[in-house]
Amino acid sequence: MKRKSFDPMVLVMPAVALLLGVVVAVLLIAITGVSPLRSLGVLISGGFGFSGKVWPIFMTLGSSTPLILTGLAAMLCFKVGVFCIAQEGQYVFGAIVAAWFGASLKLPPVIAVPFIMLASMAAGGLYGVIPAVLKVKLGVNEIISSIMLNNISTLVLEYMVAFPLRADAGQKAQSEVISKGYWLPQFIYGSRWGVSFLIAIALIVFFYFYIYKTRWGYEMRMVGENRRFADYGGIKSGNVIIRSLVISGAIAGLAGCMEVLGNYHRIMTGFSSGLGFDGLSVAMLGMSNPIGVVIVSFLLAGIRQGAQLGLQLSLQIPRELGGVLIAMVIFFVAIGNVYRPVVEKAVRSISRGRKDDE
Amino acid sequence: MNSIFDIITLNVLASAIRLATPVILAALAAAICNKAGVLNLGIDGFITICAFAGIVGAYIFRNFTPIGIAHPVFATYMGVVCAMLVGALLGLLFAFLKDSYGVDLTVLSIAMNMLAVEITVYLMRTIFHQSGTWSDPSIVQLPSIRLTLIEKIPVLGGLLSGYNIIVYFTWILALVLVFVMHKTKYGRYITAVGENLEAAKSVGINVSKVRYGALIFSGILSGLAGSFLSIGHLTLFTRDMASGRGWLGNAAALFGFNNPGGSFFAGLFFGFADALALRLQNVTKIPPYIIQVMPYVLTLVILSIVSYQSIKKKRKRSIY
Amino acid sequence: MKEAIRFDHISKYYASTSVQASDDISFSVQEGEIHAICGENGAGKSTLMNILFGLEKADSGSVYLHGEKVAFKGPSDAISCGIGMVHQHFKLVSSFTVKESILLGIEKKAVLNGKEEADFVRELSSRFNLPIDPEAVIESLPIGLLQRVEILKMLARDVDILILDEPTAVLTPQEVGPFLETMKSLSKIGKTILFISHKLGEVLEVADTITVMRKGRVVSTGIKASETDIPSLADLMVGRKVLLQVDKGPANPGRTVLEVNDLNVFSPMGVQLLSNVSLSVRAGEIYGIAGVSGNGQEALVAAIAGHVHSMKGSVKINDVEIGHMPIRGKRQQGIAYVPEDRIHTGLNMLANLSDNSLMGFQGSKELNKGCFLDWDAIDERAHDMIERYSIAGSSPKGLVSKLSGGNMQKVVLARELAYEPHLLVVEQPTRGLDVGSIEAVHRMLIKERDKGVAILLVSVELEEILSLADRVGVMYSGRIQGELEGADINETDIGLLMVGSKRRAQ
Repeated sequence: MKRKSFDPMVLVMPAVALLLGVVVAVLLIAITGVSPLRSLGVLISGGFGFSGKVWPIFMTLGSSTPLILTGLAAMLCFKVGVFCIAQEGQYVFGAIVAAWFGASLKLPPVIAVPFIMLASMAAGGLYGVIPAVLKVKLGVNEIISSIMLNNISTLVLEYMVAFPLRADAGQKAQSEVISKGYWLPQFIYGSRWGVSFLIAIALIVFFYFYIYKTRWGYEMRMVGENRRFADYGGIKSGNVIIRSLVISGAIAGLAGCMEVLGNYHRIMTGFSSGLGFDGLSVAMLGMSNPIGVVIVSFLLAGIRQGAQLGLQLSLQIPRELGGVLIAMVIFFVAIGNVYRPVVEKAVRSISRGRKDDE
Repeated sequence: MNSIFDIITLNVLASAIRLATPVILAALAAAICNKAGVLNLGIDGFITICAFAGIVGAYIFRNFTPIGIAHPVFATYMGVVCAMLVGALLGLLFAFLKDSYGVDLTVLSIAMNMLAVEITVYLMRTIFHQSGTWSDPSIVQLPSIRLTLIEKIPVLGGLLSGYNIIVYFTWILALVLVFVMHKTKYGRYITAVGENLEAAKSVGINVSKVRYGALIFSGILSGLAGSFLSIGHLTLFTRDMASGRGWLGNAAALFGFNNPGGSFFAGLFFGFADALALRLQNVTKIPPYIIQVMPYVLTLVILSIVSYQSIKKKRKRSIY
Repeated sequence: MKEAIRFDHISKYYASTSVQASDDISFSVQEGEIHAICGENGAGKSTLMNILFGLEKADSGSVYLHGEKVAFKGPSDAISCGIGMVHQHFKLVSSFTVKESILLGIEKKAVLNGKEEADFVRELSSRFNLPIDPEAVIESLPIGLLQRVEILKMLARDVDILILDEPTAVLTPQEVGPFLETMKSLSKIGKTILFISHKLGEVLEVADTITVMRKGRVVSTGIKASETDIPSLADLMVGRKVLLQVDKGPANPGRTVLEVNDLNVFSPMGVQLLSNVSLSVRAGEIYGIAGVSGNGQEALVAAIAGHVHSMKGSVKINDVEIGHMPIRGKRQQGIAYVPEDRIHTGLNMLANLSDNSLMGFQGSKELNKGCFLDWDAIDERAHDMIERYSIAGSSPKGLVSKLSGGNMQKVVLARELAYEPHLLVVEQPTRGLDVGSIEAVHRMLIKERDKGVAILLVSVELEEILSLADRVGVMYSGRIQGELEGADINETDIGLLMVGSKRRAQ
């Protein structure tokens, strides 16, 4: 039976966006007076290198973990056609719950760790109900409601670390360290790369099958692609949207939980610092495909880390360059229409050339 | 226990009016864009970039001597102009990408908001070598202007005077926009383009012009809001200077049914909540977070009500 | 008489759909006449008018206005040269008042004067004898008045040539007569009118001169209305003598499948859309719902196969009450439904054929293996559909958006028939299809009828009803105006019932 012919544009367009983003980044490096080529080298070796006490690539794998999860969460929203950007707030809520239970529970880890994870997922999921219901039942713009919710979550976090969860010692507003027994093991000490990464990958695999190989995933895709068609076919599209947004919230909540259990072991002011938005970028760049999410998470995590550990430490180029690069890539994805015709023409002529060779 | 009048003093009200100004400007910007059918969610990012442009502009012009002597206040005004110019350019960019290439403004806005925070800090660090906040002693605040005539009015007089030019301009602008939207053909054109593009096109209204106009206008207002933050209210630039005020503006516009008048009062209300939070933090033991969270919660509640009503209205028009 | 417009060898080709919409068109229109342009759907009438009005550009050829060559860049160019157009779909802003709509774009001053505007509109409407309230809000007006607003909009711009694109298609029967009078009176005061229509009766009633188009070409032009009649115009339009006729044996109806009893449907605003509708459809027959569109057909179909806001009365399938069931429940009771809008409702244009064929069956045991969808079985099934219904140019993993309209409709039908329904509801099944596809769809419907499916066919095409239906219910203003059966089904009676006559003429 004939399979769907593969459209190379799906891969080429994000690649071109990435390339254009790098070009802008190079220009921005140039104004600092450092050689762009050298900086890019440092960026790459700082993000994906194999040297030093802890290899950067392992650290990148570690910091890609929350990105994979928030990216997956954002992707599930996009799949049902809702541009929900509440992942940031859900991530924070998951983290708060994890830090709370992690420091207060007195249970053996075998019971406590799964319980904490489930509790964080429930927190994130419940948080996902709000924009979902507002969108489906009342038609509130999901972007604006998510932004409001993210702001609320930031304030709740600040309140929690300043008052109820505050550790006694120290001046910094932060929570107590969670019981050591609940820490998720890391493969290489100091890399942050650990069990949580495996859980993230397992979820990616699970949702790959869920989206493309089950009836529930089918319903999600149909609702996202044409809601009228789905309704006509007897799918309750409102329920599907709410279900997807709740699952998405649970995953984002789990991301926050993993960061507490596997990495920071506590929460503090400014815990999230834009991770939710990075998840959004991941989903947009990953072409809403679970595998794409993993690849892009790894790339973005590497860029951020290369900018921080490579550029800033060794070349004194501000680490914000990483963020600028990511934002520029999203910008170029957004304006894809501008250069798509050119790219399409190039791709077509290349593939035609290849066919002639055969 | 403090009585309510100890908490809400005239000073608190005046500071509420001040704090509300950037939100009002963002709300007016968003309202005009919404009316013209070009949802601009990038205003928050615009404001951050413009805030940076404003303070940099003031810094650049600190030694500019067109009238013989360098005048710091003149430099500050030039900063405002710079911010407005940069804002206009950002609006122009949005309009161009939307009009010529059909770019999705929502995704573009997300990119713009991310970019704004990162690029301003990056530039601050590379140019001025400061990481958290940046300021220069040569930069002075926009001067407050006292309206002696109005100050003589009892009670209200004090409340309506003593602000900088951007605050007054915002008030006048809101009035002008109410007039333009309801009493001139331009308001009619904007509404027509936003509500029924085909209808507007069919009578020869230049749709592109209206969209360009609305987005550039929103950029200019963002410029005013941004420069108000960096050289009007304070004289420094910090990371994520808009810190959600643009988003509040978007919410306020919806809150006010996209009418300039409604958006103005919605913005004022948000500013009031903000000022009250600050005040309560100073004079009571209530954790400030609880009050700070209020504008967002209220926005959600009121947005829900507003949306529900518009759904009901829409349902009335449809058959089923 | 002087020449107003002359089309000179106009051609236009749409590469995207590979349709030659205009093929070397040349004819002229005289000043002050009502010039009808007739042709079936897709004959190229609208394209030609869009070219004249500056909405589209011709590939070759030119337009002459009062003897001078013109090339409009857009509608405003055309309007300033005195050409106005009233589109089939009104271009009005629903929150505006009548005066705002009429004067939109031609305000005299930047600052508006409401009273002056209202006076202007009042004067305009009395000058052309088209009464309207300048302060009424567009969204509160009935369609007939909206059309009046559109015409006044053009007259306010001092046009002397008026293009009316299928103006009567949206009107209720009562509104058509007065509208034709309006056209005549406008022509009397010297306006040139281009009247696009395929309703020949109306054309003969008002037109001075007639041009007939078919498949992008001018078949005949300069026909005097006084010297022709409907049959000969129809011949020119359709291009062959025989009307579409399907081979169809007599129906063999069985037990009652669908029973609608005293059904009342209300809009959320409380407007009654259906009043006391009762009908029944038996297994093995086609029940046709005829009527001008907008007389309650949508509400009836929604109550049976979709979802309505509020209803009273009963809808039963095989004696099971389904009126308040969700759509999935209705489908489980054996209802299949082919909606009017196959592009936005009936299919998912972003998905491939397998995905489209799966809708509604994603939970079925045969197509799932444990928790997972069995894609091999699904593709196999899609492949079977392609072969059984000869869906040309398609594969299970091919996008349905690449198919032609006829093949899209076959995909919808194939999927709906896969339900093995007791009742099949089909709404405008052949709208916009070519003749070959129409015949194929009709044959499919007859075959299902003969297999014992009860079919409810909703169509505004009288020919379709006449050639397919075993029984006919004619809808008028939310009720069944009358029912006809077997040999009693004839065009005249249906026509009378459609316009609301109480009793059938004998």
